[in-house]
Amino acid sequence: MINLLLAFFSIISIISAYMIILSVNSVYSILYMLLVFLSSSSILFLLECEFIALMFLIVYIGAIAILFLFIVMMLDLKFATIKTSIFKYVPFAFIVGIVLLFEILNIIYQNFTFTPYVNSEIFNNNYINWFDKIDYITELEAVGQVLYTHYVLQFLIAGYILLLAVLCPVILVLNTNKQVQSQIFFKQLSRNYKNAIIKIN
Amino acid sequence: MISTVITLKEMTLFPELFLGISIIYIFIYGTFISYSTNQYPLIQSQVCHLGILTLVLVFILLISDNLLFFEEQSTFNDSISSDFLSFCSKLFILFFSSVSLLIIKQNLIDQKINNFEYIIILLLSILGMLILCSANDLVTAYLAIELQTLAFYTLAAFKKNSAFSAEAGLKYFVLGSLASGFFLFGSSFLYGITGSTNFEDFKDLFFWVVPGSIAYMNFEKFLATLNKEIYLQIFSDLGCSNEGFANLLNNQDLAIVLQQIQHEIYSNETKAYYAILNEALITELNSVNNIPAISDNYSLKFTDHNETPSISIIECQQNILKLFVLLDIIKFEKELQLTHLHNLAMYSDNDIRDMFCR
Repeated sequence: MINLLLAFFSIISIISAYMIILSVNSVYSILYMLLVFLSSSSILFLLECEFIALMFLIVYIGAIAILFLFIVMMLDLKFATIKTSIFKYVPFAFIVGIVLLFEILNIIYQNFTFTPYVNSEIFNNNYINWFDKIDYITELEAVGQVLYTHYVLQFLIAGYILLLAVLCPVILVLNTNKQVQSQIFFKQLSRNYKNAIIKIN
Repeated sequence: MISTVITLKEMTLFPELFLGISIIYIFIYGTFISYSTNQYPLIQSQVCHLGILTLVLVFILLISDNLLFFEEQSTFNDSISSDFLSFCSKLFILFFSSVSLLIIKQNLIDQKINNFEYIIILLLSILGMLILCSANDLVTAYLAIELQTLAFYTLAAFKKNSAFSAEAGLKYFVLGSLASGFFLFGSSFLYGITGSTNFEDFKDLFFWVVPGSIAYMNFEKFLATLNKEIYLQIFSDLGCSNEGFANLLNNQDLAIVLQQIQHEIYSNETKAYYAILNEALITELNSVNNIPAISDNYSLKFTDHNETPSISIIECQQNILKLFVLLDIIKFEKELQLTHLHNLAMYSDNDIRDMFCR
């Protein structure tokens, strides 16, 4: 079951990594990057490294992806259409790709070997970790045991900081003046390029 | 039944707890009153009065809670220390902030600032300041600093129809975030060198930065918790018997002892503390050269401003003893290591001589 999930998330991460460079819209590529981070975080959860998985979510998705998103939305990039055909680049890209693939395969084949005992019908490969049966807690439980006992005060202060972080943007942005705030959705949705005004200089 | 009850005396953050809860109450009251109808009633002067009342009540709590402020307590896993300095600074902060709220109340009405959240943000920043006063840990200090400055970022950018206000808020925010980054950078260095973020541990580990800081260090209770046998073993290994330091009256003997400590420091078990022990050793070695040859060991020498400051032998001996103590902790009591070092502060110097120099 875990192998299935591992394969599933790996496939999602590879495909979305490929789509980052393929997609024309910049915001889509950032969303695919977000999907890469999410799937690698899920893989880490499966491997029982919950702390690093949560750090991925907090730091990569919560800070870095948001930064990229804001920058791309600020820059207002148009759809870029490549006029030259893509087959011009195939020979050189093929060479570079083969070189990099050779590097990776070299490392893998030097550090891993094939075991003859994996799918054996005679030997039993499911060993039991006896110590885990006596004394086992996950990393997340360990973090919780320390965070909510020794560091409760810091946790509650962080809660107050989050309260401020929710309150302040609302104060800075909320405009209760109804005349400024009008958005008529039907007008916005029924815009065509024929109806819109285009400046031609 | 419950045999032990947590008394208010041991709840060192009771004023802050009250302030935090009353902020939430004022917040709920303000939200329900001012956003409930389509008419947005003005409650600014009410909320201002509520804020002043809250601060006065916190002030009263602080005073009544700390009539026994001579007891220095440290709670919340040694991250909050409530001593005389924190008490006085909180008094100062609360008194002047309540007075300032009184002063700005009419200005808020004149400037037509009708958001009741102004007071909420001010109170939250005061909460951050109060926690910062009694912080004993780098993490608590950072969180309190962030709470306080986040509130002020918003207050700087409060006026929405003024471009100056937006520019001020943005500049303050960017500079403040940079400063927080530097703070975290430095505290990560301190954690990497010492292994702890507690100010008590820093006090114990960096005592040698100011030679002659013997005035702040006492040794009694701490020595009571240690293994005296191991201590005497160290002393006998290094050639100091029960007479101990009474024999070390020459500079040369002190230097020999320090070199023997040097051998112990550069062993495998104390590898993690090379940085600190090395620095401490070097300053002590340097200070040995500054000891004038004297027979009177009991007084500090007051020097002229032109001469290099010299310390007396007794101070050097005590600093060497502190080095021993550190080594002992690191080598023999690894599981305690840094968490019990704050007891080092409780000892007086005369007992060292009583225990080891008969």
